Amino acid sequence: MTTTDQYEEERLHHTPWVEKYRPKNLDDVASQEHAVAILKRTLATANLPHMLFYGPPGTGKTSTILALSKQLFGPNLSKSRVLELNASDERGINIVRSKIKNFARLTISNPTPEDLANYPCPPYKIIILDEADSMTNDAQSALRRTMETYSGMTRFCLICNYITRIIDPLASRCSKFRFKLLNNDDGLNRLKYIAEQEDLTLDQEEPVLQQVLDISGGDLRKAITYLQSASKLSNSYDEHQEISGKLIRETAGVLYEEIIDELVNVIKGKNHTQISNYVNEIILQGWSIQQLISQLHDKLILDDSIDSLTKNQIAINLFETDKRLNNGSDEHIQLLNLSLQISKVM
Amino acid sequence: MSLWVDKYRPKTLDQLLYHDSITQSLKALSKSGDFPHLLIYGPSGAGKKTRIYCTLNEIFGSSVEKLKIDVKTFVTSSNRKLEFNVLSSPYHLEITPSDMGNNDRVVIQDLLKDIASTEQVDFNNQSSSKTKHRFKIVIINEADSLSRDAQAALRRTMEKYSSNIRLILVCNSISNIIAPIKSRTLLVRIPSPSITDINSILSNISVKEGIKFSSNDLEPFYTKVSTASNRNLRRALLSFETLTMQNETIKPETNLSIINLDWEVIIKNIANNIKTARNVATLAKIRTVFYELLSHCIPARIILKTLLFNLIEIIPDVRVVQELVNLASVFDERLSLGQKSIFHLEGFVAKSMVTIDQYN
Amino acid sequence: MATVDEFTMEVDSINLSESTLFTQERNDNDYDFQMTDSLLFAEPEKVQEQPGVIEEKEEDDEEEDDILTSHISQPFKEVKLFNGRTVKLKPKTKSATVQAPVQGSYMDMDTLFSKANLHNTIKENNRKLAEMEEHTPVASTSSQIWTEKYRPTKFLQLCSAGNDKQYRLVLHWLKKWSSVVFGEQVHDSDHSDGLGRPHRKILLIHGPPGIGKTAVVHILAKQMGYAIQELNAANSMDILPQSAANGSNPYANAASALKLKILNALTSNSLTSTTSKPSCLVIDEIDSLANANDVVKVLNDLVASDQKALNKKLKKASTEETSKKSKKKDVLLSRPIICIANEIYSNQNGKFGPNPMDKLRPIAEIVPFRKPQSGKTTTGQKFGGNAMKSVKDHLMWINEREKLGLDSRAIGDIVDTCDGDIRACINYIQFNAKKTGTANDSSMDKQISWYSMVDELFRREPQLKKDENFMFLLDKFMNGTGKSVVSNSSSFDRVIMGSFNRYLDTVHLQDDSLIRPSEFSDWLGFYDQISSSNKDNQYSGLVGLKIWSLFSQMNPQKNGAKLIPNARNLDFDSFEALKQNKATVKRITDKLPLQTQLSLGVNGDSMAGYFLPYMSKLLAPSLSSKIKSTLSETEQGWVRKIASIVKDFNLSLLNVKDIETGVVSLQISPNWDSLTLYENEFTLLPSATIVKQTQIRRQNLFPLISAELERHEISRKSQKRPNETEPEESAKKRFRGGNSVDFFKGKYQDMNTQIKSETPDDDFQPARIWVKYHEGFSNAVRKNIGWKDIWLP
Repeated sequence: MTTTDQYEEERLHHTPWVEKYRPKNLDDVASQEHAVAILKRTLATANLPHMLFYGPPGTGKTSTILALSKQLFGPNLSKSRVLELNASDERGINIVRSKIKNFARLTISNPTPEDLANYPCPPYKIIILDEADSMTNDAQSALRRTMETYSGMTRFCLICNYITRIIDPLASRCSKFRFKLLNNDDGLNRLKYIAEQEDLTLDQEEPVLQQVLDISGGDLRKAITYLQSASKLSNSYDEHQEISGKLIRETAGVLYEEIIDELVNVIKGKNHTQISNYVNEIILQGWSIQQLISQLHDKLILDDSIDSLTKNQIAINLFETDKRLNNGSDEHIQLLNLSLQISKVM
Repeated sequence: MSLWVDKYRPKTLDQLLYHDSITQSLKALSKSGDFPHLLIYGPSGAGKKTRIYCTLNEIFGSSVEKLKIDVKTFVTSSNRKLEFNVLSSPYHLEITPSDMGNNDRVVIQDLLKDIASTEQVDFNNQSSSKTKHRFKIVIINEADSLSRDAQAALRRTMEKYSSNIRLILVCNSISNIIAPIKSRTLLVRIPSPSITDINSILSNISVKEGIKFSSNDLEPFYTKVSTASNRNLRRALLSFETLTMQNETIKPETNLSIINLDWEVIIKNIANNIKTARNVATLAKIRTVFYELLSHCIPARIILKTLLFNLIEIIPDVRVVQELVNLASVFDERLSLGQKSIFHLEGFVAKSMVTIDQYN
Repeated sequence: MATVDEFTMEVDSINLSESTLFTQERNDNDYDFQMTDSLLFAEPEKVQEQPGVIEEKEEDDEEEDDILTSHISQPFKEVKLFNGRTVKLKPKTKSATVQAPVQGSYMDMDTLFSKANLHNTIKENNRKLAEMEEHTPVASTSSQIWTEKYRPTKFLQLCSAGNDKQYRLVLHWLKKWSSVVFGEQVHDSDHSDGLGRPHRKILLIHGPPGIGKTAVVHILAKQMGYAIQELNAANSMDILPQSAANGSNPYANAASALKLKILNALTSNSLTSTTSKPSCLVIDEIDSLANANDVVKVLNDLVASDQKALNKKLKKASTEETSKKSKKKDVLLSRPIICIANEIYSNQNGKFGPNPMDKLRPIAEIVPFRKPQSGKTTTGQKFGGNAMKSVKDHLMWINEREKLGLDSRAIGDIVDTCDGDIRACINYIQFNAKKTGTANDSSMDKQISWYSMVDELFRREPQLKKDENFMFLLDKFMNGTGKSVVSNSSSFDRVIMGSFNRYLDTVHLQDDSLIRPSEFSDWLGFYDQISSSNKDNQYSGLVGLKIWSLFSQMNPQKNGAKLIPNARNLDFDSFEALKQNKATVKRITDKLPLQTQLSLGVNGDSMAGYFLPYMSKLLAPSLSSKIKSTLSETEQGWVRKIASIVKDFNLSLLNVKDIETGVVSLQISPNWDSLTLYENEFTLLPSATIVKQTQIRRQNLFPLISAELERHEISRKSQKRPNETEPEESAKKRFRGGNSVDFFKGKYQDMNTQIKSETPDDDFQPARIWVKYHEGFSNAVRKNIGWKDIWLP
């Protein structure tokens, strides 16, 4: 085996599963029937509008456009026909003015006969702007004109999580595709497929994959990453450990159920010294309070024994705390406040 | 090597004394040769950095301890020169984004691209050597203070260069880390050592150093030291060492006041004052003290937090405590959003006084 | 030296505050004047003892003078305004000479007589000076900008603005150069290096703009007989000096060209000027030079090479007499360098990376200038009254010369508006006076100052109803003159800050309840948030209205008793202190070994939060005695440990004498005491007690540690080459620790040969020689290395 082969193998080994199991064609994209159906039609006619993909993370937006462009141009041609820019590239207004514009006005390269035979090879280029919501407003405005001027030979595909952060003039130039959260079965199937491919030993006693999906909240990328992390961790022990729910939780930074239960109990106890002590303990354990809040939210809001008026107040407190945490406030004070406030209304 | 924090710092994973399960995982990871990006979080003084360096030691051998400081220069897009320090060994480098101010995104992008590309060039040399690791470790300290921009930039970079760079992000809390990064890294939570952990470490050291005690019942004494330092191991060691330097023979019952820091005592007294003398004159007096504390590099938010917990301790009424904590949470948010800390500190004191008045 | 003849300087600088300083200067203008130290170096306590009385008297006199004999009183008045401390210059000088003995100790007749003589001379000189001033026509210079027109040219014209102490420091420092520059005798040997020069070869003056830093440097240097070579941002510092690059690529090495330029400036005996005075390099605005980094680097190089040259020279001095000519060949600095900066701690330009000033500070003597402020310290001591007064006097003088007719109140307002920046004050007077022509109170109302805005917010108009008043104020904010303040965020910041400093007093006097302060805090929070968020804050004016509705009253007392005496300066002062402390933390952090930096998890908070406080305590154990042998085992352990900490952390032990008080204190450098000492009523022990305690402990500790360090050094050296075969070499090595004074070296060498020849087999004899302070043997020799071990392989 030559060094390059070895290297190639190593590289494959290091590749995140997210990349490894990226859908190769549109049919593989899970759960986004609506968008896929429309895109397939464009594949047949080879006519593509400007597109704006939006939706929560891990629902397959980037995968879809990558698969689409691959299917349109084939591996060789896509090098010269597709430009992918994401937030890690410099994307200030200067780049929009120079790089994007230059690529946009390049004359399209001629496809080779083989490519023509195998792929539709429509006469335009595709510029993919991933994570477009992190572009500055100036840069976005600079795009407006470029999009129109070169629409003859260039299609843009903007990908973002929050459509509100795309300026209206841009959004109105694109046909929008909303990517919804994966439904449970599709996600589960995908995970099962990966687990089989990677030969994972799962804990048979509990529905591990389902738990993975629950923890990641429908975000397939998250779910796959958790699975990979957990498998790495379990593989590295001397005797291969089974991937258990607890392992997944630990790698995902999700608090143990016991902690949440205990916290709720202490809060119900209404003794402020006890609350303060337990909160201190949680803080010293290093848990993420934002995670705790979302778990606490699930716990309390779904609890049928609490009447809805109380739930209302709890929800307001949760919101306040989350907002303050987002503003960079201190976790300890905020958690203590949250616990005391909840104990007040319960 | 003169201070105990230095002297008794574990160098290898085997020397680590607590959190065995984490140590086991790290050991397993370093043994497998593969190594995902890590996000290591936990309270300060819990031993995050120590664990990282132990892990690196496990992987690369002791040469990771051969540290040096490089000064790197970058020219930003606005043509300004930007200098910052990089702590590095042959196998890793360590950066602290707060050195870079608003330009952290550019710097991190450039730096990582730089490392990634150079690493690929001398890949052949490396494969011939004994170590089979083709990646270089980049430790990013205080990752929670990275701007959103920089974090967004990181998320793609992490995937792109995953074949020859491994990132280790270190932070106190992952609340400020954006979700994409969390999902791309293996989270390792390092809790503070428990009181018993610290106690056993302290007693180990006192045996090794031959510290003399006047009595044999030391457990309560150690517990006092570790509680006073809020289970921050680093601080516990420093305070214990200070204690031993002040007294030839330590009398566990009596002389512990020395490990209380001046500024903590001051804040405690402020709390007492708030409880007893609630008037404008006190408020004015407290303002001057706040100014003094601030000028002594005590961050405003630490002052607020310490003050709050001191107040809670001396006030028995649950309702008042609830109100006070609520106030603190409001003012802490203002402190983190605003710039004029003195306004908010004084505001908190004024409101606390009013609250205590109301329930009296 | 040729120049010395022209200057007779007799300075007894050992005890400046008591001695008399004659500075005779022969100018081109051909007149002499003499100054006493009481002029230059007035004892501050004396002034503070009875300021009230003196000031009142002066004011009375002023009025009288104005009415009755304006022409005759002119000379005295002139002088008074220049120097700021008029007491001794007034006709009252007669009484002053009589009062002198009241100070306590009896003074002998000679001193009294000479004092009286001096006062007469001063009077005489002042008269001459005044005559000169009268001769200069006012009209011809009327088109000049006043800041230039009234730029002081004599020391007496300086408006001290509370920086007298700093002037003394500068003069003190400059004085030390005299021995090198003018060949005078070395006086003050304990604060100078072997050549009588100050330890630090560069003087760094910093302070806010417009308080006369440049002016004082120019005047003092001139006074001491130097010709000034000035380098500043404007005069081609940042443009590459083409003359230096002579043919070669001018861009090749800008730094070396710069160095050449600086060296030229230092060595050239000012060929340009007609007089052959020695030059003094003044680098103005060093912090804002575009190539500040290079300049600082050059300066660093200069100082380093100077140090080397000095060491060489001192070594030679023991063996042979060095002639003065050889000195010039070396890179020994022989001319003073003075740097002037506004800001030496933080990067105002928002540049990242190391601040060039960081590198300059360690090698420079730092003299901070302050802007004039008045108020009381927390302890209730009054300060700064003189500073403010001197500024006002100065302005009043200009006012009279220009016949503007401003009254003292208006001038007070101007000083407040300009925040003590004298230059700004003068500009303000000139242009506002010109605008209206009459230059009376109307000029003040054209643009409302933040200061008067605060007044307005705390005042309720008696004749208006509350809502009328409110509407009036609202209109003022939105459309009227108040808009200039409200819409300008930085001046509105000052309004808010000013109100913040004031509201507690108002509340205290009214109902003393905390309801309004707590309500106000919400508004302050609101203000802070919108002003931080960089958007146009058109709503910030609302906060002003709220202040008015909360705290305004009919008859605001302006000068009543204050809860916080120096509230106005507190914010600025603590900000300055914070900057300094942060710089200290950074300096210490950078000095720590990398390993320790790792184990401490270096970030500023934990350093200042607990590391440094613990270190302060840790480094000051109480030892039972100064003598090592009497220490207990544990105590010896402490000493060893502290010594190794001092060594590892690159700390140094200093013996610092305060020039002002003369108190000698032991310090660890870098000194972080300012970070760990608190002075307020909430501390356990008052800071003075802690300082005293630490000093006592250090007195025991320091000698022990330095001995320990020395011992360490020796053992390291001998460990390095334990198998040295040459007996003389190794013997010498051991002796070095015994006594470093070169004088003894010869003797020991003799003894060494004796030992070698007579008792080559004795095991203990050589060891005993370098024992010092009963400290025992070093680790290296504990093995009992005898001559045999060294001689026989």
